[in-house]
Amino acid sequence: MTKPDLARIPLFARLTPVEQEKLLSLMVRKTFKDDTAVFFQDDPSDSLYVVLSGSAKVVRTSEDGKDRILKVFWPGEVFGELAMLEGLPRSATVQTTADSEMLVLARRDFEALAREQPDVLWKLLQAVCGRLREVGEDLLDQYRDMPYRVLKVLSQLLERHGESGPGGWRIRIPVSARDLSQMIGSNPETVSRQLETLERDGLLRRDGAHWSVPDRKAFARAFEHEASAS
Amino acid sequence: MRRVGATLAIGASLLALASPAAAHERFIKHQLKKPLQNWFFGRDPRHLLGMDPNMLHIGLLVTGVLAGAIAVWFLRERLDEVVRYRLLARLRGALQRHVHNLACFLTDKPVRLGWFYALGEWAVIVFLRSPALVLMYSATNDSLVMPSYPLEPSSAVYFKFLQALLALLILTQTLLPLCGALILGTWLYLFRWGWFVAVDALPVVTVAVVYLSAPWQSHKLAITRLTPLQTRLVRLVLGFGFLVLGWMKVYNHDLTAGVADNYPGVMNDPLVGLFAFGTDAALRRETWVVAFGMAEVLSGFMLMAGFFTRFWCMMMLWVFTKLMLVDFGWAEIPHIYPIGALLAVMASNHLKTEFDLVERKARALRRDVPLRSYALVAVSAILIAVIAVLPILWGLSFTDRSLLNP
Repeated sequence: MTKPDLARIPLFARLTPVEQEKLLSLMVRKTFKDDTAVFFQDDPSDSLYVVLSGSAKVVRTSEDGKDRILKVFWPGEVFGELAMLEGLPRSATVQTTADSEMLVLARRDFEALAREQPDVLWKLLQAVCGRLREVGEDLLDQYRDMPYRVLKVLSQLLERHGESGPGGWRIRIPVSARDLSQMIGSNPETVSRQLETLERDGLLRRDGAHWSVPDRKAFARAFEHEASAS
Repeated sequence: MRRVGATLAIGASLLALASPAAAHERFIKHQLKKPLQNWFFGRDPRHLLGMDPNMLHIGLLVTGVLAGAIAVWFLRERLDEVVRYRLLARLRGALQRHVHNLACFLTDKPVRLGWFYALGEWAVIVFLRSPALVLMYSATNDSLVMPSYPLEPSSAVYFKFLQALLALLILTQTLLPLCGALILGTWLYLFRWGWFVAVDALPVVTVAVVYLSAPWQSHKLAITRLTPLQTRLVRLVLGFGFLVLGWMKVYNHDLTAGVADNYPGVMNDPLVGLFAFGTDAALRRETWVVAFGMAEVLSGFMLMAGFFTRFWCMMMLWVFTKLMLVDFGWAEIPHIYPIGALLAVMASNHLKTEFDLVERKARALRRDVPLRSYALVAVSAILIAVIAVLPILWGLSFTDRSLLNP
């Protein structure tokens, strides 16, 4: 079993090697099968998670039972830190989308460390502020046009999970129109129409449950155009 | 406040115009087939606290069950951890989500399911409109609000039209604050026939609370959810109503036993059986009356305090449905109203306890001094249960029941 490198994780990158080592000693390695809830919305926030392998989606369920995927976490990403710091109940469910391995840091252990070494808390706070800025930008996206929002999500997926091949760039993980609509926060019909337009324009191609981008440069230009237009 | 005051004044003046209703007899038969042993309910200086040992036995059993249930409630954060880390962590997929939703339901946490939300909406619609069905039923049976209170023939026609008009307003959700004031006024009017009669109709006040807090333009709105404050008020009034009704059943023991004599099916209740467990078989009917009343006191208190609200709502839904469909039949069709109220509370995602101070204190102590946290939970649970049950049960042994049989 390889030892996780906390220096490569943005949230912990500001910590010194000694602090990272100390933090790592407090973390517990846990495995989750595919389609397992790591925690549920409204649960007490008692720990922070670092994804070592696999992936997990953040699903916020409204009172009337409608799900919305807010984000997908991949190896190297951290979740649960905000709720853990403020001590309020979880605002969303995190559910694995593949067999996953994670590091778990219990709140009580983190609090003890923060009391012992306040510098750690300060550095983590700076990293958390950066995360909050990203969330703010995502929020602003909600007011932009649908073509921009679809292209942005596809660009992010391409960035994180794209692989180059003879037919262009392919998104490794299977993503349905429904998944995309939940990530964007729109209805599947509108997103499907948008995907059809992109396919018609030759910017996107459907390969079974996967999506491919035949010409990444053309796709980037279309995204830039929508970013400036919307 | 001015609006509520004016509405109450309109409602009360409308009622003041009406002639009195002659209300006493219940449609439900309650003639005793065999007299009770009345000494059982009174004082006996030879026994501890002057109460019959069987009565005290039931009181202590109910106190124990109540204290246990309250302690489990205060410890539910710990139980929640067991469910999350021992049970849910071993499951996955749909089964994990189902078990999680079930745990949320039983611990009064939000249940985020489409069908549960739809059930809640439907329950609120039923709850807000079912008083109209009760009023229409009463109007066609020459009775006031509940079929139990027959109208005096000379003035019956005014009351009947007034009830039909109120029912129409409720069915169309028109001028709901006025409907609330009328219902509240009618309930206050019932005191004219004795506090006994008014207490019996106390659950009806529940809906008046919601109507009074609705906007005047209510007919233009689709009211399908209760606000957190409305949910709390409904729970408190409904719980208090059942709590008082439970004590009334012990106090007016002849009426309670008379109902059981005429409808023996009501005696088959597992919770009542548990409370009467271990008592003298020669006092079967007397102990049943006390156990039956105490079961209602327990349910009402749990609802009022907000301990396992959904669970107790389910228990009471089962009891009321059984009474309406099996034991009493058509004569108790107005029970559709508390069924609607209980469903609306059960399907709410805004359930709170009135004793969260104890939980907060126990949580604060838990990390540093866990033993003191457990002690706080145990002492609080026992204290609350003892205060809720024993003083009133003891006090009732001093009352003179001969006034009930003029």
